[in-house]
Amino acid sequence: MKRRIVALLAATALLSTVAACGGGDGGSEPGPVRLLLPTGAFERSMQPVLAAFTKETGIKVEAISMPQEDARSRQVLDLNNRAGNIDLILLDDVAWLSEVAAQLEPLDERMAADNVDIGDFLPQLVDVFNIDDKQYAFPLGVSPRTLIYRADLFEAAGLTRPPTTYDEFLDYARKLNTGGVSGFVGPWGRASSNVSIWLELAFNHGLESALSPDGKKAAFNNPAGVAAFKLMGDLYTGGLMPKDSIEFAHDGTLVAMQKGQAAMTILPITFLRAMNDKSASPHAGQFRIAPMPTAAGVSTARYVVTGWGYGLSKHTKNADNAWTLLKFLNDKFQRPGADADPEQLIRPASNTAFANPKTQEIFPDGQIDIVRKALESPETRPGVVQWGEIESVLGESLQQMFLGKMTAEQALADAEGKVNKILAG
Amino acid sequence: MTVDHESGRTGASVEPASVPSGDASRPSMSDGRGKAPAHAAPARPRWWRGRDGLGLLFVLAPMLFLFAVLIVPIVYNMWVSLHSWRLTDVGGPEFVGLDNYVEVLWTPRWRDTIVRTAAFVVLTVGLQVVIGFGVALFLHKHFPRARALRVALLLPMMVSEVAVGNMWRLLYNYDGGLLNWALGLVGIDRVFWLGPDMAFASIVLTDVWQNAPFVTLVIFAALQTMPNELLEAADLDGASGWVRIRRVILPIVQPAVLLVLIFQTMFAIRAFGTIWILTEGGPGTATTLLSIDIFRVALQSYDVGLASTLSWFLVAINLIVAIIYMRWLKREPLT
Repeated sequence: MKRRIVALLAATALLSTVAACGGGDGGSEPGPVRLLLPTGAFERSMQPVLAAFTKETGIKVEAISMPQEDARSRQVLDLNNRAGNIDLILLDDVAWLSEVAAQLEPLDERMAADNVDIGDFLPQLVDVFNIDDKQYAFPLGVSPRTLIYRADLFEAAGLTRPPTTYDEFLDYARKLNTGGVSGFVGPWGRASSNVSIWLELAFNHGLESALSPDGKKAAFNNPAGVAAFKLMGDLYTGGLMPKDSIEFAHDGTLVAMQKGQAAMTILPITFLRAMNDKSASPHAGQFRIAPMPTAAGVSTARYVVTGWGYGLSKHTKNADNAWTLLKFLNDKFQRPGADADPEQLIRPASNTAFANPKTQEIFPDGQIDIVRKALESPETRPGVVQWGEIESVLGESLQQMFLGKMTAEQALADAEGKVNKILAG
Repeated sequence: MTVDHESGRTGASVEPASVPSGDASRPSMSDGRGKAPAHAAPARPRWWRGRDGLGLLFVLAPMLFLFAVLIVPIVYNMWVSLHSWRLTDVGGPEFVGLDNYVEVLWTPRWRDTIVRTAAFVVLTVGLQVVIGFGVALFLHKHFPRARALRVALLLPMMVSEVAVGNMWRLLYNYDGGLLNWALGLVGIDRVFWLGPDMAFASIVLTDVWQNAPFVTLVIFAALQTMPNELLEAADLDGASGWVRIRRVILPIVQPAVLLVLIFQTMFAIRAFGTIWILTEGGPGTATTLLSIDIFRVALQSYDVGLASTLSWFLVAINLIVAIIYMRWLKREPLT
């Protein structure tokens, strides 16, 4: 009899364990609002806002920080499994949004019901998170890439203004490439970074779009695309960049600029504040942003904007609290007050943010106008679900060219073939 | 002593106390004609006789667990590898048969990765065994502070892959890394350790640094079991150092060497963390191994069909190497 009782208890325990594994948290109170934070400046800007939200509403927030690529894959898996463990989905502009839009709840109905105003955001940035007239997120941390340069080195080289054409840009890079300082440095080591720069350079060489209008074919293998590829290759193989920059990501590029190893770079403007941080760089105060140069035939500079927003998971069991947090974030990032953290203002996205004195301090001497102009005509990465894979292919081709294994024409043609295959499914 | 005729087991038992005949409320134990009482438990089926239910449950539970966490994922992975399936696609998996396998075999990019992985395994495991063996021989000797040195040599094995990756990344740093600083002291130009020419060698070096201590540990333990008389006899016979190693030591530690070969090969084939932190598979594809491509394809491109296929190639390499080692193990010891 004892054996039977023990066996029954053991079986019950086993079944309970299995049931607990399969069950959700049905019936229990909604827990904290869960979201992922990409490590870095955006994370730092979010932390005080989230703390203020909990203080004001009593709703707890569980914000998990991790590298952005890890966040991306974790979210995709969570959404694909319909687990609903992450309530607010981190979105890196339309590139990530297109991957998961089918699993997100469009915000339009909730916005209409609660009279949520987004009128102070720059409308072009609101559109970054809009697909088929459905709004999926608010532009909380969007920034363009611009040319960033060392004013003191320019002055020492007798350069009175930033370059406006790419011939001039290369000429400047050669002139500045002296005395242990490289003319240029960029994140040539990571596809997620260097492909966005290539895209921006290609736009400024006259590229219309990276993909065909229906998103089914590559449209980048043309003179503009090749010229941008070649420019990036020439900068590296011509010895105008630090030798180890083919393993740099954004942070490596930032450190190289802070240490004074290079005179120019192309990075998101969010890095300007870190460069001009006196505790981080002996050259602080000398870094300035400039408009992107344009090639012959391109009248207006174009900028690839990337950045963060949060969408509402369709599978969340905590939708109301998550929506309350989204409204709070919308308000704080759209209308940052005098007490706003400077980390939040390094990505101004609304009229109020641009008017904030702290933003003016970060981008003094008219630089804020360059930022505003860049954000008013933003280009985004193509909104196709395969963009992540396409980015990997283009990044690999770029590296083959940097290593001298392919010419720019060969590398881009190779990438075109692979991208068409990916898009064909 | 009684015999349990159902189970065939023997054991001490106590005779049931007799029931007073005058107690009409108690049921009789027997009807007096040798039949089983009406309320007795039903007879067990023949296949069950002699089995212990609780014991069976304790065996079944872990087997069910293993089935759930091992067999099901393996079968599921095989199923996925026969499908075209991207996690970001709205449509579900689409059966494509062996297309993914054909693609891996016919695409130079994947073939190169397989070859590079094989080269990495051969180089790292070979170096680990040679170095590990040499260090174990050295540690086997008695000298002052030998114990402290043994502990120090095993330290790399105790460090996590992430820490090792970050540490070596700092050491390899082109501008200001410790290795280049040391080279500078003796007038040698800086080396781009993680550049296109040196990156593969650098990840091999790091892997050997981290994993050779395990080889040392196992072979050192095997050497401890070696009778000293054998070496003394070899000395008396005038055997040279190499002959002593080849004819005396190696045959004794051969099983240990085979053990570390199998383990280290498995570790090397799935090496990921340290390499990812050092180079993320770059520059270009210079340090891209199968494990890195599987990660990229599965968790960056979300093409789980292709990633599952690549993982089967990883399994295949593992199996082939394991079979070779096992055949070697069955051979007569080195003589």
